[in-house]
Amino acid sequence: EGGGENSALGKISEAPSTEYEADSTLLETIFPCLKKEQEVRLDKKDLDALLLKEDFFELAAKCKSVIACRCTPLQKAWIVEEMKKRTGAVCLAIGDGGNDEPMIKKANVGVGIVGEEGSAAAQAADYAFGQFRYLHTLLFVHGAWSYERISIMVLYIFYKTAIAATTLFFFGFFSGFSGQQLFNIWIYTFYNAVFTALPIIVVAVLDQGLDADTLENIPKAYRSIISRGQLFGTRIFFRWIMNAVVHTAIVFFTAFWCLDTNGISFPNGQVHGLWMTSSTIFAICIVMVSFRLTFEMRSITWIHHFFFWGSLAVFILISIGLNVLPTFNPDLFAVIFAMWRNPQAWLTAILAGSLPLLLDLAIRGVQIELFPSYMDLLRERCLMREQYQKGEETFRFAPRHTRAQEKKHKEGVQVIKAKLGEAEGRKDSQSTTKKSSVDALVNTLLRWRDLTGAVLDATEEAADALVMDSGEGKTA
Amino acid sequence: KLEKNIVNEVPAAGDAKKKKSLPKLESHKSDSLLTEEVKLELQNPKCDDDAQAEDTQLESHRPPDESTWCGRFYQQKLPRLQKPLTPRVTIIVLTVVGCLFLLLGGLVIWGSNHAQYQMVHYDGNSDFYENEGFTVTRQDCSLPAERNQTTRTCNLTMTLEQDMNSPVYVHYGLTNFFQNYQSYQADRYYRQLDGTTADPDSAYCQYYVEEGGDKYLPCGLMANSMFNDTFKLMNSDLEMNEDQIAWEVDRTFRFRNPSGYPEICDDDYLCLYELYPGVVSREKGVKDEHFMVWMRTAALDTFMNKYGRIEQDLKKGDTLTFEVTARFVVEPFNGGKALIVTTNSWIGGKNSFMGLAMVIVGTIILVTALIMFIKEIICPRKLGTQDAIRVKAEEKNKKEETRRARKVQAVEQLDEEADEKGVEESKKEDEGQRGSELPLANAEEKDTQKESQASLGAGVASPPQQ
Repeated sequence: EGGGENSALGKISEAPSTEYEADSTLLETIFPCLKKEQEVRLDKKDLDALLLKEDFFELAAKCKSVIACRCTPLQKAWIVEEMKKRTGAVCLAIGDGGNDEPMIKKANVGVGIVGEEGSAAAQAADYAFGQFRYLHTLLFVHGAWSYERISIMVLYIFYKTAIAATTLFFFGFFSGFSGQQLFNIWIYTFYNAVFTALPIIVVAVLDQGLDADTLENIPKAYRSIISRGQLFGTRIFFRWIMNAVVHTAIVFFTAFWCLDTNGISFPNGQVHGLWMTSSTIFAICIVMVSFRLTFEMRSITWIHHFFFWGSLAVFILISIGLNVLPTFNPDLFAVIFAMWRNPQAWLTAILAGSLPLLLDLAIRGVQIELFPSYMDLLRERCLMREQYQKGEETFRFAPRHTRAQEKKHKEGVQVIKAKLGEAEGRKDSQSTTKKSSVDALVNTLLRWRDLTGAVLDATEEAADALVMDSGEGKTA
Repeated sequence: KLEKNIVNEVPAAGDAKKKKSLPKLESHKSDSLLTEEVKLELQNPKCDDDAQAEDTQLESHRPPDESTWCGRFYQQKLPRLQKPLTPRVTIIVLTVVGCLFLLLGGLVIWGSNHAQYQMVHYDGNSDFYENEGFTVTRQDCSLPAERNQTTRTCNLTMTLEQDMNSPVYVHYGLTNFFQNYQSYQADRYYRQLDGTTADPDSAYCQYYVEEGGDKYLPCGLMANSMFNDTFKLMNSDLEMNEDQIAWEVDRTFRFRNPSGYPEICDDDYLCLYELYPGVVSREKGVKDEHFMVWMRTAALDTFMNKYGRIEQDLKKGDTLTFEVTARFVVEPFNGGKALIVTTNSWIGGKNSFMGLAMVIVGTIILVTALIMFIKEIICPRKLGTQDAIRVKAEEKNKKEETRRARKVQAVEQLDEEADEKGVEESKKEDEGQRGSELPLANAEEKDTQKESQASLGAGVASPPQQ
């Protein structure tokens, strides 16, 4: 339907319904379509014959879109299953009726539309909403957010656990590999369960890499987030684990050499014992790991603040508790208060704890400057938009000529806006005199010249600036 | 309105032509079309999907209102701070932290230099702290295995090389003694040390639990390996105080003798004074401060423990004489012993590593910040765009690549033409046509050559189009 005489569609509808002939005509008619990247439409009689053929799915996978209409529910489910099996891709099925239920169940992601045809599809689905067009939001906004959140969560949780474990490993070098744990057993149990658990959960639930407007309107952002190796992959995971080992080495050896090489660390001659060293290094680990998480927080709400500072407060409280109870945990009794009174412990904490963070900060700063990813550029565009709206300069350290250039550019944008304003004004003006027709004509011509002149004069940047300036990113 | 004006004016023929060429700038809505129905629909548009959905949506299906906090939380529209990392932030943070480290490093180095250490090695071959800027002398008071000695008394002399202000601390140092070994750390029973019970518990102590019917009162390896060298300051005008060297918590709370002490020691308990005669007195028992200091274990195998305190000012050139009674055997595990006299500063003792590390790290950080700052001044990157240096580098690479690609293409074209020529020549031979064909063939070849040259020239001359 809707195809010309020579189109493939017309030929298919004329094809006989025997299996053999359907195959051959299909092959003849589909290949030209593939070369031109057109769409293929199959009807039920072809479907019965073809869904069982392997070649069909190979061909279908090469097409940009395949429309199979008048399918029975089982055929729909069969299509989804075969595509999953043969291409190994993640399949999403969306439907609104009861006949879509098997298909939705078969797919990796099933989406049901709640609406006119009832909620049978929604009951069987993983996601349900009210309109087909919300699929756009589901994929591009929520899909991108979920991917980023999960990748951050996995990488960070391995990282923080690796830090604790590697510290114990490094201590083995100094304790004859006897298995003596550097960290006190009780406080170490709380490490993963209490001190470092909640902030990452908050990030994994609430983090937004890019805001919803950007993701909805710029599909390329979605691509840049979910493609393999961008945010998560074998290489990235390996890099994070190496990061953990390097950071632990920095923290551990700095702390040990600061605290224990020369013995005395209190002004009253007192020595830094094993458990004081242990508490110091543990506190350094927790603070460093928590602040490392802030590097991964793309957006910060008050909930983040609450759980982040709350976790540190809980750490302090539990430390005090262990410090005060003599029999519960005799190792740490009175150790933690002594540590807080020790100037060397504080200095070591500042040095050893901030070194890995500074290293990461410097690396990230250089990476954003010289090798920004697409997402970094998009985030900066959002910042630029805010700055334009507030009238701020884009960079303040720039030399005078660059700033003058930018000022000139802004003035040019103002000129263009004024021209457009004039054009708007001319459009609104009305004249009802006898010569009004001529005036109106002249007005129209001038208005056209203004508009076309304005558009031709403006550079691409000015047009961008106008688009961004107009408000919420909607095209003017 | 425009059309209305033109229509009402009854245009002339010329105007009519103009009218046709005029583009339609305004919508088709004229007054006649604006019926009541149309007006109603304009006010209540039913084609708006959201509006339609809201009408038919159940109360329970509606998302929470965004004006409430709850609504904002569910719609993920909480107020957020969402700023990317700009170079300005990086530079400021690095500068501040670098300056802080330099400052602190300077203070630490000053404090560390202020502290003085003086050390006498009297057993073993280790180079205990020799490289740290201490003053070290070696005198021999060792207990070698050949001599099979258990005690030995010597005099250790120490000539001070600097003024030392009170309080001057006296420490003993051990090397190669792993107090941080796991079975060593595990081998202590806090209840006995607490004074709660007198009986050892084999769940806690693996070694030194019972011997010949007598139970060890502080059981375990840690308590029974105490450093039992004693030092006595022989200077008549100076006095070394051996009290208040342990932690206050230990002295008041954590180490107590059990009830029935010291009478139970005579019956079936082995108490400390019996294990370390001459070091721990019967009255003190577990409350002996040297014992408490020993039980606060060290983190490394090379460590110093507090022994005493001299609360008088000492001058440069003063000679301190200590009489040491050496009982602790270190030769089997290749350990070393030393006597150390120190003064401390605000930071504690000498710490050559920390000050130096802070200064070096601070310098590196400031240099990094400076480099980034210079880069921002010379060649700043406009937000949202690629860096200019990188863009130039990439363009250069692309130009080279396109040049190479074109060269390859040109070579391929020449190859193709050579093949075609070969084919043509073979064809001519087959057909046997000469004479009239040849000039034509030549002309063809010339043409193709010209074409190829032209295409080559065009290819090389045309600018790379990105």
